[in-house]
Amino acid sequence: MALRVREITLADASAERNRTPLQLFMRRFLRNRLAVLGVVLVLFMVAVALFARQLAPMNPHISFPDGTTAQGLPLPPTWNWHHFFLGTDSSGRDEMSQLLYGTQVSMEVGFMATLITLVIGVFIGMISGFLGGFWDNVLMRFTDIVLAFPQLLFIILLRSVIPNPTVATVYIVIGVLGWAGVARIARGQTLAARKMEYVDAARSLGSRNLRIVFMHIFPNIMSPVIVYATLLVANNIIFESALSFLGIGVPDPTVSWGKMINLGLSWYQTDPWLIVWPGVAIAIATLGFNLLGDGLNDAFNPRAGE
Amino acid sequence: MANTGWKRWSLLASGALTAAVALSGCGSSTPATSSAQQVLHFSFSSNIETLDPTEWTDVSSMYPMQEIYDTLVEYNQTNSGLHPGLATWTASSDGKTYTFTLKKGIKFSNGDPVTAQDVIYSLNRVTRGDANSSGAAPYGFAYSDIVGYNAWFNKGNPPPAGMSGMSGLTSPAPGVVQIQLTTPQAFFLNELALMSAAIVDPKVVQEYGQNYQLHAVGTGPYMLKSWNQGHQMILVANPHSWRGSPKVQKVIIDENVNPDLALLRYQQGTYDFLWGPLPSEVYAKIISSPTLKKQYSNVPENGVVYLAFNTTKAPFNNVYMRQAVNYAINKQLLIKDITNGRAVMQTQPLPPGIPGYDSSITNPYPYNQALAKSLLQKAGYNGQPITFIYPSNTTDHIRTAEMIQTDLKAIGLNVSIQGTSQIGNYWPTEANPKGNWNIAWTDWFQDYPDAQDFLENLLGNEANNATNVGNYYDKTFQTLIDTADALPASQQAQRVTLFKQAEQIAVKQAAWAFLYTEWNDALIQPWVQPQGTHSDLMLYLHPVKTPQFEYMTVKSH
Amino acid sequence: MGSFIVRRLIWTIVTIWAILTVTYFIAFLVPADPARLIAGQHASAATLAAIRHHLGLDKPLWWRYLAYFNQFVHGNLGYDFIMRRTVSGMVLQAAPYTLYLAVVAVFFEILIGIPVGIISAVKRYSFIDNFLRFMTILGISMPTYWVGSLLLVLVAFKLGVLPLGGVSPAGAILPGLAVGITGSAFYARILRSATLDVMRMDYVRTARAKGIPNWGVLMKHTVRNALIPVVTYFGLDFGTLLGGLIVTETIFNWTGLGFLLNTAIGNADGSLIMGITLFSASSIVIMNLLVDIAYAFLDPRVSYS
Repeated sequence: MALRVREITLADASAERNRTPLQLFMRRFLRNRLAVLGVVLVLFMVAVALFARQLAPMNPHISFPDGTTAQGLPLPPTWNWHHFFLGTDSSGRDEMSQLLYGTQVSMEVGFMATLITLVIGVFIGMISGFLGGFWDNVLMRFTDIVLAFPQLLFIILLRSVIPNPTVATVYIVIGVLGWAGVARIARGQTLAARKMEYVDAARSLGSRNLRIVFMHIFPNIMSPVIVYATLLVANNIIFESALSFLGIGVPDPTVSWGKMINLGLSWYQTDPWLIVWPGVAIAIATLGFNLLGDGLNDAFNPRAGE
Repeated sequence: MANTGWKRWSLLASGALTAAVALSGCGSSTPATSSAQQVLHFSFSSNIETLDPTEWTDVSSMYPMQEIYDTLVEYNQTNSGLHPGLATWTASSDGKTYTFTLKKGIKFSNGDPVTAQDVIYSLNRVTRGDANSSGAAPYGFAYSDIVGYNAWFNKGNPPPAGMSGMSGLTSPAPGVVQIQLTTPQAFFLNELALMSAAIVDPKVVQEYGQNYQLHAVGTGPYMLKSWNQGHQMILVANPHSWRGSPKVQKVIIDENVNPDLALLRYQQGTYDFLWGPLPSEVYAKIISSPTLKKQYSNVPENGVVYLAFNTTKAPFNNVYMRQAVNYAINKQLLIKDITNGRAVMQTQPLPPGIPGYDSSITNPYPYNQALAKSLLQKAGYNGQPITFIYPSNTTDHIRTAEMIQTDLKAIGLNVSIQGTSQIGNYWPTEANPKGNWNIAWTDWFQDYPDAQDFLENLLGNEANNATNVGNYYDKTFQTLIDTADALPASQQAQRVTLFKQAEQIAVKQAAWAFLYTEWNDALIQPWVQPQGTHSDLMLYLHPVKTPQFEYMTVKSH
Repeated sequence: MGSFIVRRLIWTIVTIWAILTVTYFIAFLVPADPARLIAGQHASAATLAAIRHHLGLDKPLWWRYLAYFNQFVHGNLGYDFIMRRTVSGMVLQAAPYTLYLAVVAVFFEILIGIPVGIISAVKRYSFIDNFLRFMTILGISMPTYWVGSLLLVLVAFKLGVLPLGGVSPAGAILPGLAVGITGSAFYARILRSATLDVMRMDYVRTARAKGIPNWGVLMKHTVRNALIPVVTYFGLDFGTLLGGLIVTETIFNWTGLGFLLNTAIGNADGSLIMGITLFSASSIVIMNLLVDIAYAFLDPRVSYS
């Protein structure tokens, strides 16, 4: 349910000197079939999210009078795209259209929460690594405390006390609580980069501190952060679905995969597809990001796979 | 009440209303001894909240409390009438004085005799929040017409020495309790039949203080044997019961068992009862199984599900707006999709089972989008945002809100829905007298079968009437129900006429968006059978009472 | 070593204090009115005021915070006016169930992780390696609660072999397996690297060169090599594990902390949500402390300065 901390180190580009790092990276990445599958899945999900409204065969919010049986029970899949392709839920709403709309929320929360996490985490980590000494100590102790907080529990606590939430509430809550891991990585990379010759050179040429940080160190810490961020997106998608599953996710009537599972769960004896479809959707989306992240990690860091 | 409705409102326990309750006879726990000792074993989907009458608000607590305690007055099993419980009574001709004579020789389950002082103690206790651990006395208001209530209620915490209770409660002779009211109240006896008026043993209350509910003692047919809170409660027959020994000697109640699981255990024979309202997914399995179908039965509840309008501010201070919403909602579809057809359309504030229900009102607001749109125009609605609030503790509430939102958007209302598990935060406060909402999903289940419980509680404008959430007020309506309330029970026919007139007004003015009255339903194993004169098991689907185990018998199976 | 433990202990206490403070302010700085929740709809303003006084809600915030802190130090998480029981009582009643489930879950994580990791390493870069890696990544890509519901449908309901829910020794198998499936990936990864390291050892190479892949030696060295990373990972993962359990318990009607939390969320029961969060977070921090100490004993190379 949460991001497992992985060992991420800088790619050791000196091993193969006759190619540019980018070429090496691409070669290694494309050789990894699973990573390529990851890219395909991620692009697919992003495309679905962007065009969900156009793709959806029906309005997912409407309870169709013929969308349930005479006793008001959900319909099984009809396999007719324009008429309840994957069946309906207990309110007579089209499952397929809900799935497509649900992609939007998952992607929005996944990306936005990650962005928030990255901005906070990279900022704190870089400042900490760059300043060193007392401030580094203070910030890292603080980071340790945040890292010790069980993230899902605090997301639940924070989210359950916020009245009148929006989708933004959900990604902000997820985003602001997840930065400690990023901060650790960013600090580590900053410390490593600080010791490198070009930073000393820049300093001796009179660059101001902040400029050094952003112009020189920032690009160097990006590769592990990108890997981490990719995995974080997958993680945040699952967080969002878990919150919506618990009934404290995105506000009604926004469609969300987690909410679909929550609505369908009690029907498992008669209509199991109600939990199968949204679960498969979550699994495909997160699988894409996880495979991509894993592939990036291997490509950035050839020895990480061993 | 004590009801699903109140429960949904107060949100004290999620899912208590859909508490699919299961009773079971000699399930797997007692296979061999079933002929020697009959056991009922049932489950709740939530916690049993309390066994303390001062804290009582919900249906699930009512199951065990009704078995452990007695009240002075009781409801008949067969209908909503009253008969003597612990005491017989006479009423003065002005309807302001009731004299109760306790039946002889009644003892608590610990052997203590019941005295008039115990009755007085119990009634005084239930009106004060400091009597229990939560600091609230949710049903204390029901006894506010007893002489001396205000003085007693407003005294400090704890009450000063020398102040022992309401002056209207006296014992002129041993075994006799006299209750004086400030005004005649046709429904006062009903309030004495509520679980809040259960008679407790003062010695036990004083001995255990805040932990009283774990040691609850009463005069009922059963007594508390053990309670592992949140998991299981066991009741056994009370050896001192004045009603004699019941057939069913032991009752096991499992807590926190979800309805799907309860159904499967029922099918395995572990549970012999599933008590409703049964959730849709359980109902879906019942209608697909011939065996289960035979064991299924239902009755309409004395309750209503409706939308309250905030009439303190625009736009729903306008009658056309309220009527437009009534026309815009597809109630038939709502009944089909949310209740699977297990409901009747609501046509007026009262449900069909309450005297005063006017059967001449059939369908005042049929589904008609065009008419709804024209009413919006007539009201001059300009697209201002409308906030619809609802308790988001069950998926059924969420689905209802989403369906209604779709209907209202279709006629051009700019509605946003806000689910909340803290709906109390939306009600008007001193700081925000109008509240931050326009429409609220609401339901109500009777406290007692009298129109007053609906019309006065939900639409009356008495001071501090927090149950009239939308602050509906109409002068003629108010006069009619005030007149009816002040009549003694002997003039019931005249009261009914007045209530019917009041109903016409509330319907015409679209006081609420009327939705439906749900059915209560149950699955009963064939080996659970009625006992004695109680020939029909469906009696236990009683509008007022929960099933009573002393009237059941469990055949070996 | 002694001073290392003392320092870690102090740090643990500071962290728990921080968690308490943050939790308190999140849970109680919200515009909810517990008095209204307790008193219900009929309550008059006077009743509400009386209840607020009873709860101490009319006291200043700092006073209430200190009072809560004082309670906490004495092992008391306060009284829950909605459930009408003490919070500590409910939490302590539920915690053993969750702990039991956690043990079963870790058992499954490792049970799946060890063979997958070792086979992946031995058959490195083969189809089976790729396939297993894919499967473990697929595992972490599925929500635990969803895997749980599928297992409930397929194994318990369709096949009817295990309990459909409820607390019983066998009832822990399916929720534990759900967590195991979704959490085994990293144990597999650790085992894979450990095995690869072992395979590079001279004597193992020699043995393999002679065509005698000595599984016994391989296993022994691999498990020894993997012990420290597994313990480390367990410490890091404990919070995640608990999070997964919390969402999964509801599905299996397993009345542990997660089930309780779900009830509390439905009731908007601030004091109970806070109690559960505080208790779980503290357990995680204490678990991390124990793991650090165990780590120090296991690996003499760790410097304690």
